[in-house]
Amino acid sequence: MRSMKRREWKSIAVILIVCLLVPAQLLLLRFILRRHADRLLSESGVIAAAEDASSAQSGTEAVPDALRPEEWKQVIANMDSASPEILHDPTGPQVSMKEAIAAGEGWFEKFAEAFGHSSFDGYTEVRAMLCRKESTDGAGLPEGYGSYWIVSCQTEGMEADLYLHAVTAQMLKIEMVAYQPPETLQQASKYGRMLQGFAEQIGWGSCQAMEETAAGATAYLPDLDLAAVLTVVDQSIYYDYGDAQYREIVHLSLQERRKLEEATYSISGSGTNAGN
Amino acid sequence: MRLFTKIFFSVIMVFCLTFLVSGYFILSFSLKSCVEREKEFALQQYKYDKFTAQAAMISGRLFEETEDFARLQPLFETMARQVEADICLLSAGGECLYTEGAWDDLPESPPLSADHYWFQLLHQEDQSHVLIGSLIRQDDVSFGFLTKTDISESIRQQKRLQTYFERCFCAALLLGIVLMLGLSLLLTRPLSRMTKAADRIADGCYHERLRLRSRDELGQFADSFNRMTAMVEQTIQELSEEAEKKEDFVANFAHELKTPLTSIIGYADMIYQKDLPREKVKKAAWYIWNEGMRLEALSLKLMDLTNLNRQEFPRSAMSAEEILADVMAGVAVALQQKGVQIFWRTADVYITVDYDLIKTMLLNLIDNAVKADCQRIWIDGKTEDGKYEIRITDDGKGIPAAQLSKITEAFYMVDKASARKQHGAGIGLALVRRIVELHEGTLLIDSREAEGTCVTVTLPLAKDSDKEEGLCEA
Repeated sequence: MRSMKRREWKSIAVILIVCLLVPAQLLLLRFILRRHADRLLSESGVIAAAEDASSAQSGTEAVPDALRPEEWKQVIANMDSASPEILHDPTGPQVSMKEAIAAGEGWFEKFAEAFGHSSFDGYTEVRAMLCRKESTDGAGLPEGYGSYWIVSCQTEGMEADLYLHAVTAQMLKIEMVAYQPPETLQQASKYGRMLQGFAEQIGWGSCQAMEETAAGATAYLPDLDLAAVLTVVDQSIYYDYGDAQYREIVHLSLQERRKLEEATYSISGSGTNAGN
Repeated sequence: MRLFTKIFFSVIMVFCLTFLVSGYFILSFSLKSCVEREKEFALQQYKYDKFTAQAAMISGRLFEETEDFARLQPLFETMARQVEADICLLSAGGECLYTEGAWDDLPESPPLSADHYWFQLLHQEDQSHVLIGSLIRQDDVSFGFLTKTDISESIRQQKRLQTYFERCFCAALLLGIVLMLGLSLLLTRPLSRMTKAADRIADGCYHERLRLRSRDELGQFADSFNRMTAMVEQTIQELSEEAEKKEDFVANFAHELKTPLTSIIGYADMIYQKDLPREKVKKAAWYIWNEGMRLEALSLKLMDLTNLNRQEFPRSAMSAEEILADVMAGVAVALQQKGVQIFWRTADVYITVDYDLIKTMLLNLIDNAVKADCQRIWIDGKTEDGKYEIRITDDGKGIPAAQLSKITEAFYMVDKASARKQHGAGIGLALVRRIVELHEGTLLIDSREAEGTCVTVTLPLAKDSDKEEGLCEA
């Protein structure tokens, strides 16, 4: 009888201990997690920048004015790859943000003229970002040559994203949106002029627009396996607070000739400059 | 403490400990990953904002005006609009030039540099933020640029995860308690049944068995338990029978002792008390001597029987013919005096026996045949199925069939009066049976009333033995 009573008391004691231990463990877990969170959420420190920003400011290194013909294809292929973009500060031979913005604004004004916006009251917004691709890392190009500035300029009636090579500041691609009153609509012949100006600016000398239509224009440089392509993405009437505006979205880019021949446009013979 | 309680609470405690330890590692890893992810995102956003701010500063020629910052407030506001985040702009000397948002918790002199990004995590009550800062440098002019990113929602999400985990733990614990109750009962029920069965066996129900259909350790234990119980039951039964036999033996022995002692005491008392004529004295003395002889024969046979149970009897290979010849030589004269003819023949083989015991056995069987009032006795020894079979046949009065099964029990006599007259005590065949058992042989008694009795004893052959049999008369 006595041993039975003792057994029962033991069981009751064990039950009580377990009933106390379980919530105690839970409270202990909460306490430990809170301490852990407090420690994590009061952390401070430094994260090293991958690039040395100061070296981009001196500009003492001698950099070429233009890309070599063999470098163009690599630069274009690198820029068009599907790898994500990474922002970084200028390093080595790369031009600074100020120089990139200056170059971009120069390009912008040139193309604005083609769209009938030769004069405007300054820029409403200017942005610039230096990017490189995450995985290709320059795709075999010299250091810094795999990056490009994206300069975004916005004025009254036009905005554009200009892609400039990080070292030579040459134009690689332009995406622009222009708004103009329908009565001041320019003729499609501006596409040929824009394309020619683009090709000359990037050091191709004179080239001939092989085809020029209302949908765009294409120009070849015979020595390179590249073509400058102007594509009219959209042409539509846009209503801004009741005022009708003609909106054009135009993309100007460089593409490999082989890929272009696989696309919709057909190139006909030696062609002439239809714009003249 | 009961086993059920031990199992139940041990499993519950192990469950709690394991669950909570795992939970700690999972939740702490989740929080750390969340904070790292938010830091990384804030850093990417900072880089984007920094470019935007720098571009705005370049456009607004901020780097060219480094003396009167108060005039640049509109430019700062324009820049803040473009960045669309909480920002803080510091001069090269650390002076706060412009802030957008709440910056009360900005540390003094944060270590800003153009070569790295400085970060600081802030957590106050329910609000969490990441401060990131570095220097914007252009044309040897530097500005400190900081952004503040709100990560409160992510941290609150982690806290909700923790709360969810605690609820899951409580639910799992309740479910575990219910399951463990059933499981513990299931595991300990066979043990309870075993305990009850053991109690019943202890109370004397030796036929009790456990019925447990299981192949695990408990099933094996139940099988072993049943085997043990069967052995215990069998042993107890054998011991009971043994005790009963001993009781019968003692009772019979006491009875056999009492009968001659009564006669001896009676006749001795008569001689002592009365003056009897010599003839009666001689007769009384004869009765005393006769009963004394019977007691002496009884004690000798009892001694033989007792010795058989106590000693080891090494056996050796001996010639059956020689053994029988020796026995015949010993009994020939006595049998001749009683007018009993004995014929014997045997195969000349070797048998593995103890000489004295086999001689005793044969003498007892011949003696029994003589006491059965026979005229002739035949002894025939031959090999049969790889064993030596010796058959002793007489033409005496035989044994009733109903008494054949008891004939080898100690003190059992078919005709008590006749046996006592010849100093018999009913132990001879018990002795023969014991000797045959010691030799790992068999004993078979076949008898018909008024026709005679045939006793067949089978004994093991010794190796390498085989000779032709011959017939001879003792």
